[in-house]
Amino acid sequence: MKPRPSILLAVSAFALVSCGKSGPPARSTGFSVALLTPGPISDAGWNAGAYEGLKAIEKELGASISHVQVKSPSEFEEQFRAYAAKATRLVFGHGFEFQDAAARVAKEYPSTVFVTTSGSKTAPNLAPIVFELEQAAYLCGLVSGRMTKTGKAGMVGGVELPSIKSTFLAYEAGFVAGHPGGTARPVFTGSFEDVAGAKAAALALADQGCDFLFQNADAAALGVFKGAEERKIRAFGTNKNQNALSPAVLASAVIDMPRAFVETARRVKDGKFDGQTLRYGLASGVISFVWNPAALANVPPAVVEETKSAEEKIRSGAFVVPRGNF
Amino acid sequence: MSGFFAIALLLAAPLLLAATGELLLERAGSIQIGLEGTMLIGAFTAFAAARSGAGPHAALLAAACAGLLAGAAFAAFAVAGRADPILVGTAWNLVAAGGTAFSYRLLAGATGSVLEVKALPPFAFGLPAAALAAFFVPAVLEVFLTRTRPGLALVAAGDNPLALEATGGSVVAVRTAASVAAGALGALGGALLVLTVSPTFVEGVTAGRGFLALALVVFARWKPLRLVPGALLVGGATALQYRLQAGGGTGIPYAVFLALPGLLALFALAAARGRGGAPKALGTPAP
Repeated sequence: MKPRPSILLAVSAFALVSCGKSGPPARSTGFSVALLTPGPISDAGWNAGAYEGLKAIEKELGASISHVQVKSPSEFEEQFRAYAAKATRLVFGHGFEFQDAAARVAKEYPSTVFVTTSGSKTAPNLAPIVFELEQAAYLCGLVSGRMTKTGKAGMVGGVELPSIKSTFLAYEAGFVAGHPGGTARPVFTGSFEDVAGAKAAALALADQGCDFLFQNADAAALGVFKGAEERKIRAFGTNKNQNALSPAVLASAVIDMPRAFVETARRVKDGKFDGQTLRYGLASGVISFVWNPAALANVPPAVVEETKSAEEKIRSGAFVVPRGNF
Repeated sequence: MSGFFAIALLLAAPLLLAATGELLLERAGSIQIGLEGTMLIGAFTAFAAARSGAGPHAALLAAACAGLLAGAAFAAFAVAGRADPILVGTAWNLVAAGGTAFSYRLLAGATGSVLEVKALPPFAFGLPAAALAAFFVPAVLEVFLTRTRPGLALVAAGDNPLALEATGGSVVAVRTAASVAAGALGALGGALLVLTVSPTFVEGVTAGRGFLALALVVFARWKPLRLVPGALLVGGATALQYRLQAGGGTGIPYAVFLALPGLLALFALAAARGRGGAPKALGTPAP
């Protein structure tokens, strides 16, 4: 996939127009924010959420914005460098896989702030946003564990990234808490676009006896839902509220990305960015566990109650959900 | 029919259609390495037609028509225009990926929305008729190539284009017709993916299947009937690796399972090495 020159052109044209009278013509003097996504923003999931965040920054903070889609790690660094050279104030790299490239470029351009969504590397001008989606994934696991008849759950992922594995770890922990001795197995399709592969994976898990499916497959999620429908088992939405997509979806583990993006950008704009990891969990409201109202009638009231109290414990910090070490 | 065989056949059918079209074109002496792009165009056209109210069979037909046009466009550059088919095919992949992504965003909005399409109804063994029919297309091609006059002309265009010209035939006309048919079959392959196992279109939904189909043609040594076991092998290995992952407890990294269909194809290819079979004038411009 190529960068989107139309947007780049539009943004640079806007930058030229906006500072044509006062500032030097080649450089934007206003607050400028850029976003690198690893996949198409039309995925109605992980990448779409980030683009909505960027649009919210434009609207709420009056920033000039720019976006490119990148494919390979060499492109990550190249694009980070290109934005930093244009004196972009804040550049988001959307995903764990961006942190090495961001760390390298951050050293060379101290006046640009680099933020990766997930990861652990920090510097005065570099920090990750950590979406604690694991907290909601744990609740999905707990619900599955309480309701499973077979004691088996499945998890479908795109690429085996640490951030994806971490949500699986949390789901599995929840499942075992809800059904001691139960097993949750992962299947990876190797792609976030292979809807057919995701469906084949879901069917394979169902045929192994799994009666609940968690997924972190982004654009391919619908394949998992269709597989679950066909085998009459349950699945969970992730990243976005996917409850309306299928009657098989019992609940969704949701990230309110625009909110986290705007808060982060505001810190940078106000000069309050300090290179500390920005964590967003259930307590912040950025992460939420949302029941599918259409499926709720099939959930025993005791399970709804237990999920609620588990959520409270996670919010208050009384219970810490396990997560991957990355 | 058990889940495993159904999914293996459903994964094999799009590959088989696309590979049969490619084999037809290569026997005529041209080569379209942009098959992935043609499949994407077919997948998107079927999706767009189904979203605008067409039934699944009409959507399949719409994709075939788009494929005819795609094949004609390729032939205009690579056959009539005599441009290097490898370069045209490379550009083709990029243009198709960008074009379908752009059109998809017009339909689904910039940040997308999950738009489901209705699948083809099952006909026998839980599989739609179109998917089952795909397994007979290579046999039709075999008969065409060996028993009919136009089929013989096509083989001549790929093996000895000068001889075809000398007997009054037109290499450009034969290869253009082959490209048009190959385009339709490639697009039908992509459409079948969206109308059977993948219930929607996303950018890059074909996920490399066009390249697998290209490999299948070499694996089959340009013999149509050998495409069937080849596609079944790859489809079966793909379905199997999901089962193996889902079974768990093997301790083998998942990447090994994902590579399984490709590795199998590679081994089969190595085993079949040296027996030739490639059209003698493959990839050369028309005289």
